[in-house]
Amino acid sequence: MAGCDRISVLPLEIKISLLSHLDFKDAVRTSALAHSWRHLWTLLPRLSLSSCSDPLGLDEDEIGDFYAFNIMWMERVVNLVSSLRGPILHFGLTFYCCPYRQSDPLLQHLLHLLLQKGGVVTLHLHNFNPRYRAVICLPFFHALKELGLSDCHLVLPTGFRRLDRLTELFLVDTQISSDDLIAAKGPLSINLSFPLMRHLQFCVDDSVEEIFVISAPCLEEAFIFHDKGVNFTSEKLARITLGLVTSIVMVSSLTLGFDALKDFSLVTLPFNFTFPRLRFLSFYMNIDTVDKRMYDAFAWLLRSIPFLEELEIELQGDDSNQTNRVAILTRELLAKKHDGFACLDRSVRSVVIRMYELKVTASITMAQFFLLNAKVLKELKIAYDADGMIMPSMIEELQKLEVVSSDAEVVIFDRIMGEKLLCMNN
Amino acid sequence: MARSSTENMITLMSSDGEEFMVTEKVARECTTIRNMLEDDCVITNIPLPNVTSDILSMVIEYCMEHVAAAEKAAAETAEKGSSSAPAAAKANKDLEEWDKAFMNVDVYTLCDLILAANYLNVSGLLDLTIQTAANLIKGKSPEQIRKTFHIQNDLSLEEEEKIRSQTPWAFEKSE
Repeated sequence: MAGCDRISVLPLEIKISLLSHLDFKDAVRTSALAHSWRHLWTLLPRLSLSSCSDPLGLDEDEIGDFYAFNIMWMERVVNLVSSLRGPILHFGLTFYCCPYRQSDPLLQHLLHLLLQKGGVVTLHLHNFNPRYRAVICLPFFHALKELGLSDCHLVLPTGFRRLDRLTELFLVDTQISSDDLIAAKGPLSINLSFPLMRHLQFCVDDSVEEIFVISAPCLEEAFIFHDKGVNFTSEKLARITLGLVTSIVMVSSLTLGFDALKDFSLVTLPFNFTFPRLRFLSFYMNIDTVDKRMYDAFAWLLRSIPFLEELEIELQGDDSNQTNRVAILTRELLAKKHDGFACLDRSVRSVVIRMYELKVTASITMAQFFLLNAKVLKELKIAYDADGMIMPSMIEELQKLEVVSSDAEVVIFDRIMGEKLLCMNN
Repeated sequence: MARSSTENMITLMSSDGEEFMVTEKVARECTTIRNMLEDDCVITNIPLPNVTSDILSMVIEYCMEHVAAAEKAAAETAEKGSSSAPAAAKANKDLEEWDKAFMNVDVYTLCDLILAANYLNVSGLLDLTIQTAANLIKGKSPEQIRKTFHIQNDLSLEEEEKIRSQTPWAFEKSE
């Protein structure tokens, strides 16, 4: 058998699968092996290119101008895509958007080439230049299931609701607007409907008046955050965010990557609102901004989620001065028994409190609240940084508590090392 | 390995007539066989005319190892109530090591295994073998790849030159 070529006679779909396991450059190089390999790479169903790691023969230093390099690179990508013979099911591009919208026509051309070839199922366009958002006028990809954009300005086509098959949407630092709305001027309101969507990642900015998801019955996971980072908010941003969050009412797992309590303390919260399917909630909270209204927001969140099972809270801020107002207020609000939280009475079984670079006082106060109130709690984890300080007095304080759940386990562990430091079991 | 006597045994017959007795659980790792069993549950003897005995024995060896690993993990989970992350990570690593050692074969066997894994639809093995073949191509020049896989170069010098000039960047030395 020696000396006989077994790989070239493998079925076509296996050879294409083989090329899919290679970097694009390696896959293209197989074209020079023999006749039967020559056009194989042009049938690749998946193409993912990055201007950093796949320069396509261009030398940035030689060209001298960073943006010129990126424009030339994008031209090469367009040529490459037009030389591919089959439909490209999965397309990903990581690029640098150039000033004065120089790169936008090329991007648009690329999208139309993809549209012509048909069949695009996943599309990722990630702009690595935060200074200029790439304008993406999304054509109608009828089979599109997954869309991911970073630092883009997504202009939705007229009748965006036709993106009926979309199951995953990831919008990072991406602003959205619609053809219709730009033409109509006036306050911008975006209404989205996704009959099949399962995952949503959405970055809210205040360039529109409101964003609503009118229907997303299949939504499982949502991750909502702000484009200006975790610590900035405004009344307007808070209102848009609350509108979006309360419109994805059927979600089962929700992560709020902003100071949710601060945000929700700035606006009027809907009375008697319920997330009927929500089981997992994670939010971020800045200790320094705690005030009485934030407690109201906290209570509203807990009341709105009657079947909450798992809760993760990430604390940030500086509560190192234990005698300061913030610490006293937090203590007053949280380290007490409270009534009337259905989820604490019957469903919350896991609470994780995480901290970044702060002393543990706040988290202990927060922990006390759950130990005092969560009746079916199984596990409470306090995760902290290696340089956070845990004092014996704090542990004593926890141990003295009258814990309501009979089988609650308290674990304190080092966030980085994952090391279990204390495990108390009542 | 202690097994309950009630477990169904299936006979797989290779193209050269050799018979292999395996448990139904192991046989079910091959989606093609699983589908046959689901269509006709009394079937106990399955001829596999596309797979030679030496390749079939390797496929079975792979399936047995993976079934055993999954059973061990399940038993540990049942015992402790929950799986401990470090133990699971170690078990995964052990299985990866086993896979790696298992892939220490010549390119002919590798290609035959790809074909068999594709025909029997053993997704884990297909992925492993294709990844192994891809690793033999990664970063190599066309000449080196041809040599590794004994591929006959039927391109004329001019043709090869033309191909290289169309995507010259693909033939540059990797940084």
